[in-house]
Amino acid sequence: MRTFILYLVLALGAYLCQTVLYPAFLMPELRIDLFLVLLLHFSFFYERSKGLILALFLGLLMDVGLPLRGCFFPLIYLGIALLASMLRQNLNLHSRRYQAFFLGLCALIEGVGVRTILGLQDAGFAEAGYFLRLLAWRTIITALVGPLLLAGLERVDRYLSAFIVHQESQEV
Amino acid sequence: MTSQARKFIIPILIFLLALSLISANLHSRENMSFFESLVVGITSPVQKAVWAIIGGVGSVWRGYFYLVGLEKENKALKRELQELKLQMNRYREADLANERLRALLNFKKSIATPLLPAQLVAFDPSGWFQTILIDKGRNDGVVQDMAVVSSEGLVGRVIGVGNHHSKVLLILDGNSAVDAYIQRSRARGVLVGLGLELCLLKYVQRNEDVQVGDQIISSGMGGVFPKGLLVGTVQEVVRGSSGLFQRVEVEPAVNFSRLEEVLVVIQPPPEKPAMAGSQKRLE
Repeated sequence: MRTFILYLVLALGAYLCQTVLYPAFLMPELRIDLFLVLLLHFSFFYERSKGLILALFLGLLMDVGLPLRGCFFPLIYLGIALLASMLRQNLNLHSRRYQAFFLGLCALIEGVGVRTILGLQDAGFAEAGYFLRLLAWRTIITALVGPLLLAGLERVDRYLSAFIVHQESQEV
Repeated sequence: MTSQARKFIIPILIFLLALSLISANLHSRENMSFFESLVVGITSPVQKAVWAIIGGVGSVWRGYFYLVGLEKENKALKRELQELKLQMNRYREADLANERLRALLNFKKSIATPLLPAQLVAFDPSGWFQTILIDKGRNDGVVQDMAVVSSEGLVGRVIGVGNHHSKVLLILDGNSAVDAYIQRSRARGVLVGLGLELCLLKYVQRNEDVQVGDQIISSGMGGVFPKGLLVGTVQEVVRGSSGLFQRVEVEPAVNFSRLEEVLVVIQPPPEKPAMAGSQKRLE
């Protein structure tokens, strides 16, 4: 429960970062989706049900402020969480290379999903060139920076588990 | 000589000696007497040395206390300087806010419809869209499809309303479309966002007169955006060798990266055409 609350707090922090700090300091091409990193970390290292719940929460949070209908982000995050939990039995997800690959793949899936849903809404980006450039940059940046963020989250996890063990031992 | 007479004689002699010394000094005031010179000659080097030592110790002592005081004073001054810097930043910020609000106020006076000032709260979290959240919602009288403007020009329209917040789709977004025309030549088109800080005026016919630097104005068609609002400036015109339309790139009038305060145009949203069934039911 504590872990889950911690991740909810981290998710809120990531939300604030993406809605306030990103537009002020980062170019659109460099804006890595922090929710994706959080979600993948949770899906890699925790039970599937917990990952799915977090995916739903993050998706709903992301949908706040977007001009989309039909809960697009909850759906796409649930799909990614499901895929990650399935793959963790077959892939060595502790390897940074696999993590980079998977993060890049997820960023690509997310971008293509956004483009598809915009196409279905008969809106979409007027310039395919700009969209493709944005997608390519975000995929690369996510693959490069994502594993570092995952490593940071793993460290947070270790601290948290050590803290819980310490507290429990003290209680005993 | 009696003892009583001796008592008187000695003080009188001393008195006379003193008187003679004083009278002798009165005559030679400019030069020291031998005695004085002797005494001064002997004592002055010692005095000098003692004064030098006292002076040195005194100056070190005073300097030490002065330095201690100076350090404290320095710290206090630095703190004061920091406080003043902070205060100055606050004043500068207030000054800038004042300028912006004054511009908004002037703009508000220039538009006949009532305007509701709102503060920008957040941008789109995903980075794929161009939307913002503002701090005014249903409770403040905001409803869907109301136009949002700033003193610089058109910002977007309300696409979602909460009790205290509203979601605004910027004109930069690919989902946005604004009916607009070129102010100089009155050539019409539809302004759509490109997803970045640039828009495209679509469906401008090839034979229309469009030049770089022309200003784009909202036409008011559709009833969402008020007529005559500045939307942007033509940045590039491309006429291909074929095709019905020319490509007109538009730089928005509003600097979206510096957007802080906006105005919601409080006017009833355009009435949507009633469905045939519902029309019948109403009848």
